[in-house]
Amino acid sequence: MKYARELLKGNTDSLLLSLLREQPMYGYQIVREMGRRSLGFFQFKEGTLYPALHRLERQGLVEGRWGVAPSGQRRRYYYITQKGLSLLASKTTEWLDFSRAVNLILNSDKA
Amino acid sequence: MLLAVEDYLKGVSKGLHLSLEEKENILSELYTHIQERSEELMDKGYTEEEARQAVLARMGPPGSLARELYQAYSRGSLREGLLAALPHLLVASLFAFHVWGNPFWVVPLLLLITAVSLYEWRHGRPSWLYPWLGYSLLPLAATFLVSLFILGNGLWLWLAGRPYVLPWWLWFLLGIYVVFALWAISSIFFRVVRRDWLYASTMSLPLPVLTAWLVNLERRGWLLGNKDGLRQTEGVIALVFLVFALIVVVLAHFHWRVLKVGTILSITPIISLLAWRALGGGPGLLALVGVVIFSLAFLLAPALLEHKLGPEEGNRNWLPYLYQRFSQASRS
Repeated sequence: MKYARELLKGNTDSLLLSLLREQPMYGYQIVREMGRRSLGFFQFKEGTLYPALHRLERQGLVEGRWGVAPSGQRRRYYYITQKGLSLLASKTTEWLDFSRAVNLILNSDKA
Repeated sequence: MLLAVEDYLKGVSKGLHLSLEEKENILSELYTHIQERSEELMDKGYTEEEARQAVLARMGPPGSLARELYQAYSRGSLREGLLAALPHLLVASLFAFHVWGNPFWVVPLLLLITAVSLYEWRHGRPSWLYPWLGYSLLPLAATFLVSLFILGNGLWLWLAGRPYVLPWWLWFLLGIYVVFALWAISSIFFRVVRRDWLYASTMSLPLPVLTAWLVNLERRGWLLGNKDGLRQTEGVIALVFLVFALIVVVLAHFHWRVLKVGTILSITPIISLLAWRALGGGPGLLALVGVVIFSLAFLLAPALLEHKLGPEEGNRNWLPYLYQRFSQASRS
């Protein structure tokens, strides 16, 4: 479990940017979506999520804007920027290369 | 129950050390999160109390959340670091080129620094502003001390029954100026301290060394008139200000607050000590210990003051404030 936590920590930015690439989202929506799409594997805590979102915003990778939901509730939506899209593309390539190499070694005895 | 959320938001706000606008933004976001998550849990059968407690427990201790959020904001870019270092570099060059006593160079430079400080103070007070602000307050502080000295001298002459030279209206004007300067310096300084005492310490960074320098010059009788003696010290002072520029760049680069505090508290007394010795200060252990204690007291005084004054928002209750803010926003 500790290993999974470390992996999540190292890939928080990529996961957040990947979700936001599809549509702008607010904090709680991100927590729910992350849990749903990973079948409950990734349980994002607020203590990780909000600092990460604000850090990405400071780096110009996402942009936060206040908006009103159809229910009338005000929420802060995060939009991915062009810089965020570029970083996501390079991180995705890096991750795919890395995981492919790890799989090759881990599964070498099955070949 | 509501008090728990209020306490939580106050706990986060206390550890943020950010501008009021940034704090309001963060706390509004956390407030909407707590509200929405609680409502969802209440739909699942939780009581209001249970729901809020569960949400707050999941968010973790307010101090930890504040620390993580602070780290998200605390690291400045290289540009911000260089901007913060620029006034130290400019002052270092005044000493390096032996023109620190020449009004032709000093006055335009101080005017420029003051103009930049005023503009940025009114436009969001970026993190690189504080070294600029420190220098822009120097003329005010210096004229305040000179005025106070003249007033004190006049009072002493008057009490001793001896004639004094200045007309009464000039005394009156000096008195008004002293009150005004004290008010201006303290109100700006207190506002900086209430945002983050570390900024106030950064602002005051050169003062221990400048004081050590002036004390040494006075001790050797070089302060008034001995140009050769003064010139001997200029290289050391220029070097010290270069080191300050470097410290400011390093501080801007750190994420962790503890590293920022550690750097400023460890390096400044050492520089003051080295400067004191290089400028020909007394070698006695007592003098050296005195310089270190004076530097540390100077840098830590804003921390004590912040503890006493409290945060920039005062004793604001965040829940009614945020509720009103959201009500106004949805009406508009």
